[in-house]
Amino acid sequence: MREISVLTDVALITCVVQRGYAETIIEAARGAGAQGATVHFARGVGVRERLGILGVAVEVEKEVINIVVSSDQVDRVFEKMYLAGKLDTPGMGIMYITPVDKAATYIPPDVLDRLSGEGASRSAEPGGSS
Amino acid sequence: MDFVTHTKKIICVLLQGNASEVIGRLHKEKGVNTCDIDRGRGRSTKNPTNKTYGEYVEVEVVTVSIEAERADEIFEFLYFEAGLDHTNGGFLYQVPVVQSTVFKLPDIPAEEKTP
Repeated sequence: MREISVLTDVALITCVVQRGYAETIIEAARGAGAQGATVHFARGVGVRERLGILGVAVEVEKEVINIVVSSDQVDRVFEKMYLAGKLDTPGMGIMYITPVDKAATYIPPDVLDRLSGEGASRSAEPGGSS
Repeated sequence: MDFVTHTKKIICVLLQGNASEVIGRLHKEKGVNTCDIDRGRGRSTKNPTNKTYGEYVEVEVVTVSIEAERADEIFEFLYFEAGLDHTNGGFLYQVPVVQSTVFKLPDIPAEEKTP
Protein backbone atom coordinates (compact mmCIF):
# COMPACT_ATOMS: atom_id res chain seq x y z
CA MET A 1 0.00 0.00 0.00
CA ARG A 2 1.29 3.46 -0.86
CA GLU A 3 1.66 5.67 2.17
CA ILE A 4 2.40 9.33 2.71
CA SER A 5 4.41 10.48 5.69
CA VAL A 6 2.51 13.62 6.58
CA LEU A 7 4.26 16.20 8.71
CA THR A 8 2.16 18.56 10.78
CA ASP A 9 3.07 21.34 13.21
CA VAL A 10 5.24 23.10 10.66
CA ALA A 11 5.36 26.71 9.51
CA LEU A 12 6.65 28.53 6.46
CA ILE A 13 9.04 31.44 6.87
CA THR A 14 9.25 33.73 3.85
CA CYS A 15 11.94 36.37 3.69
CA VAL A 16 12.27 38.98 0.94
CA VAL A 17 15.66 40.66 0.84
CA GLN A 18 17.93 42.46 -1.57
CA ARG A 19 19.80 40.24 -3.98
CA GLY A 20 22.94 38.81 -2.45
CA TYR A 21 21.76 38.55 1.14
CA ALA A 22 20.12 35.13 0.92
CA GLU A 23 23.29 33.15 1.55
CA THR A 24 23.98 34.77 4.91
CA ILE A 25 20.38 34.46 6.02
CA ILE A 26 20.14 30.79 5.06
CA GLU A 27 23.37 30.04 6.91
CA ALA A 28 21.85 31.63 10.02
CA ALA A 29 18.64 29.64 9.58
CA ARG A 30 20.54 26.39 9.22
CA GLY A 31 22.55 27.25 12.27
CA ALA A 32 19.28 27.61 14.17
CA GLY A 33 18.04 24.20 13.03
CA ALA A 34 16.40 24.70 9.63
CA GLN A 35 16.93 21.70 7.37
CA GLY A 36 16.66 23.37 3.98
CA ALA A 37 15.63 26.41 1.98
CA THR A 38 14.59 27.46 -1.48
CA VAL A 39 15.42 30.79 -3.06
CA HIS A 40 14.13 32.52 -6.15
CA PHE A 41 14.65 35.96 -7.60
CA ALA A 42 12.01 38.65 -7.78
CA ARG A 43 11.63 42.36 -8.40
CA GLY A 44 10.36 44.64 -5.69
CA VAL A 45 8.81 48.09 -5.78
CA GLY A 46 7.76 50.46 -3.05
CA VAL A 47 10.35 51.34 -0.49
CA ARG A 48 12.98 52.34 -3.04
CA GLU A 49 10.72 55.05 -4.45
CA ARG A 50 9.78 56.29 -0.98
CA LEU A 51 13.39 56.78 0.05
CA GLY A 52 13.99 59.32 -2.73
CA ILE A 53 17.69 59.86 -3.49
CA LEU A 54 18.62 57.38 -0.77
CA GLY A 55 16.69 54.77 -2.69
CA VAL A 56 19.70 54.13 -4.92
CA ALA A 57 21.11 52.15 -2.00
CA VAL A 58 18.25 49.68 -2.23
CA GLU A 59 18.65 46.90 -4.77
CA VAL A 60 15.63 46.48 -7.07
CA GLU A 61 16.30 42.80 -7.52
CA LYS A 62 15.20 40.72 -4.58
CA GLU A 63 15.77 37.23 -3.34
CA VAL A 64 12.79 35.43 -1.84
CA ILE A 65 13.73 32.75 0.69
CA ASN A 66 11.25 30.08 1.71
CA ILE A 67 12.00 27.84 4.67
CA VAL A 68 9.67 25.28 6.23
CA VAL A 69 10.48 24.55 9.86
CA SER A 70 8.76 22.85 12.74
CA SER A 71 6.54 25.00 14.93
CA ASP A 72 8.92 24.40 17.83
CA GLN A 73 11.79 26.00 15.93
CA VAL A 74 9.99 28.73 14.06
CA ASP A 75 10.54 31.58 16.54
CA ARG A 76 14.23 30.83 16.97
CA VAL A 77 14.86 30.46 13.23
CA PHE A 78 12.85 33.61 12.49
CA GLU A 79 14.86 35.65 14.97
CA LYS A 80 18.21 34.40 13.66
CA MET A 81 17.19 35.17 10.08
CA TYR A 82 15.98 38.63 11.09
CA LEU A 83 19.26 39.47 12.75
CA ALA A 84 21.40 37.96 9.96
CA GLY A 85 19.49 39.91 7.32
CA LYS A 86 19.66 43.13 9.36
CA LEU A 87 15.95 43.55 8.78
CA ASP A 88 15.76 46.19 11.47
CA THR A 89 17.38 48.54 8.93
CA PRO A 90 14.81 50.48 6.86
CA GLY A 91 14.55 49.18 3.31
CA MET A 92 16.43 45.95 3.94
CA GLY A 93 13.49 43.63 3.46
CA ILE A 94 10.55 41.91 5.05
CA MET A 95 9.84 38.48 6.46
CA TYR A 96 6.72 36.73 7.65
CA ILE A 97 5.43 33.38 8.87
CA THR A 98 2.60 31.48 7.18
CA PRO A 99 0.81 28.57 8.88
CA VAL A 100 1.20 25.27 7.04
CA ASP A 101 -1.63 22.69 7.06
CA LYS A 102 0.68 19.80 6.33
CA ALA A 103 3.88 18.88 4.56
CA ALA A 104 5.31 15.74 3.00
CA THR A 105 8.58 14.43 1.69
CA TYR A 106 10.38 11.13 1.54
CA ILE A 107 11.43 10.13 5.01
CA PRO A 108 13.64 7.06 5.38
CA PRO A 109 11.89 4.30 7.37
CA ASP A 110 14.45 4.37 10.18
CA VAL A 111 13.99 8.12 10.67
CA LEU A 112 10.22 7.71 10.51
CA ASP A 113 10.29 5.06 13.21
CA ARG A 114 12.36 7.36 15.39
CA LEU A 115 9.98 10.27 14.84
CA SER A 116 6.78 8.26 15.14
CA GLY A 117 6.13 9.55 18.61
CA GLU A 118 7.25 13.08 17.87
CA GLY A 119 4.80 14.50 15.40
CA ALA A 120 5.25 12.63 12.14
CA SER A 121 2.36 10.36 11.33
CA ARG A 122 1.86 7.61 8.82
CA SER A 123 -1.46 7.43 7.13
CA ALA A 124 -3.01 5.43 4.35
CA GLU A 125 -5.05 8.46 3.38
CA PRO A 126 -3.17 11.75 3.07
CA GLY A 127 -3.86 13.80 6.11
CA GLY A 128 -6.15 11.11 7.41
CA SER A 129 -4.53 10.73 10.79
CA SER A 130 -2.64 13.99 10.96
CA MET B 1 -16.63 39.82 -8.37
CA ASP B 2 -16.52 36.05 -8.15
CA PHE B 3 -14.36 34.73 -5.37
CA VAL B 4 -14.04 31.63 -3.22
CA THR B 5 -12.99 31.42 0.40
CA HIS B 6 -12.30 27.72 0.81
CA THR B 7 -9.06 27.40 -1.08
CA LYS B 8 -5.70 25.82 -0.40
CA LYS B 9 -2.34 26.48 -1.96
CA ILE B 10 -0.08 23.47 -2.49
CA ILE B 11 3.59 24.17 -3.06
CA CYS B 12 5.77 21.43 -4.47
CA VAL B 13 9.56 21.83 -4.60
CA LEU B 14 10.93 19.47 -7.25
CA LEU B 15 14.54 18.54 -7.65
CA GLN B 16 14.04 16.36 -10.68
CA GLY B 17 13.18 19.04 -13.23
CA ASN B 18 9.89 17.52 -14.31
CA ALA B 19 7.58 20.35 -13.30
CA SER B 20 6.21 20.88 -16.81
CA GLU B 21 5.25 17.23 -17.04
CA VAL B 22 3.62 17.36 -13.61
CA ILE B 23 1.39 20.34 -14.39
CA GLY B 24 0.57 18.80 -17.76
CA ARG B 25 -0.70 15.71 -15.96
CA LEU B 26 -2.56 17.84 -13.43
CA HIS B 27 -4.41 19.46 -16.29
CA LYS B 28 -5.03 16.26 -18.22
CA GLU B 29 -5.85 13.83 -15.42
CA LYS B 30 -7.27 16.09 -12.72
CA GLY B 31 -8.60 19.02 -14.70
CA VAL B 32 -6.54 21.49 -12.66
CA ASN B 33 -5.60 24.67 -14.53
CA THR B 34 -4.59 26.87 -11.61
CA CYS B 35 -0.90 26.14 -11.26
CA ASP B 36 2.39 27.77 -12.11
CA ILE B 37 6.10 27.04 -12.07
CA ASP B 38 8.88 29.07 -10.45
CA ARG B 39 12.52 28.26 -10.78
CA GLY B 40 15.16 28.88 -8.17
CA ARG B 41 17.83 27.27 -6.07
CA GLY B 42 17.48 25.09 -3.06
CA ARG B 43 19.56 23.69 -0.29
CA SER B 44 18.80 20.70 1.86
CA THR B 45 20.38 18.08 4.05
CA LYS B 46 20.52 15.64 1.14
CA ASN B 47 22.91 15.82 -1.78
CA PRO B 48 20.83 15.47 -4.94
CA THR B 49 22.19 13.81 -8.02
CA ASN B 50 21.27 16.48 -10.54
CA LYS B 51 23.06 19.69 -11.44
CA THR B 52 24.42 21.57 -8.48
CA TYR B 53 25.77 25.05 -7.89
CA GLY B 54 28.06 24.75 -4.95
CA GLU B 55 25.92 23.66 -2.06
CA TYR B 56 22.73 24.61 -3.90
CA VAL B 57 20.77 22.72 -6.49
CA GLU B 58 18.45 23.94 -9.22
CA VAL B 59 14.83 23.47 -8.20
CA GLU B 60 11.44 23.95 -9.78
CA VAL B 61 8.56 25.03 -7.59
CA VAL B 62 5.04 24.08 -8.68
CA THR B 63 2.30 26.10 -6.98
CA VAL B 64 -1.26 24.84 -7.24
CA SER B 65 -4.31 26.75 -6.09
CA ILE B 66 -7.16 24.34 -5.43
CA GLU B 67 -10.52 24.28 -3.67
CA ALA B 68 -10.27 22.84 -0.16
CA GLU B 69 -12.48 19.86 -0.98
CA ARG B 70 -9.96 18.61 -3.54
CA ALA B 71 -6.79 19.57 -1.68
CA ASP B 72 -6.11 16.11 -0.23
CA GLU B 73 -6.62 14.45 -3.60
CA ILE B 74 -4.22 16.82 -5.36
CA PHE B 75 -1.72 16.65 -2.49
CA GLU B 76 -1.62 12.87 -2.84
CA PHE B 77 -1.39 13.07 -6.63
CA LEU B 78 1.58 15.43 -6.46
CA TYR B 79 3.32 13.37 -3.79
CA PHE B 80 3.33 10.19 -5.84
CA GLU B 81 3.29 11.44 -9.42
CA ALA B 82 6.04 14.00 -8.88
CA GLY B 83 8.23 11.33 -7.31
CA LEU B 84 8.34 12.76 -3.82
CA ASP B 85 8.06 9.26 -2.38
CA HIS B 86 11.68 8.65 -3.32
CA THR B 87 14.98 9.97 -1.99
CA ASN B 88 15.82 13.41 -3.43
CA GLY B 89 12.33 13.69 -4.90
CA GLY B 90 11.60 17.03 -3.30
CA PHE B 91 9.24 18.54 -0.78
CA LEU B 92 5.55 19.36 -0.66
CA TYR B 93 3.44 21.51 1.65
CA GLN B 94 -0.03 22.99 1.83
CA VAL B 95 -1.05 26.37 3.17
CA PRO B 96 -4.49 27.92 3.68
CA VAL B 97 -5.67 30.77 1.48
CA VAL B 98 -8.07 33.35 2.88
CA GLN B 99 -9.73 34.27 -0.40
CA SER B 100 -9.11 33.82 -4.09
CA THR B 101 -10.76 34.80 -7.32
CA VAL B 102 -12.29 32.27 -9.66
CA PHE B 103 -10.07 31.40 -12.60
CA LYS B 104 -11.66 30.23 -15.81
CA LEU B 105 -9.99 29.54 -19.09
CA PRO B 106 -11.39 31.50 -22.02
CA ASP B 107 -13.82 29.62 -24.22
CA ILE B 108 -11.64 29.17 -27.25
CA PRO B 109 -12.51 26.52 -29.83
CA ALA B 110 -10.01 23.73 -30.24
CA GLU B 111 -7.42 24.18 -32.95
CA GLU B 112 -8.19 22.50 -36.21
CA LYS B 113 -5.67 19.83 -37.01
CA THR B 114 -4.14 20.12 -40.43
CA PRO B 115 -4.00 16.86 -42.36
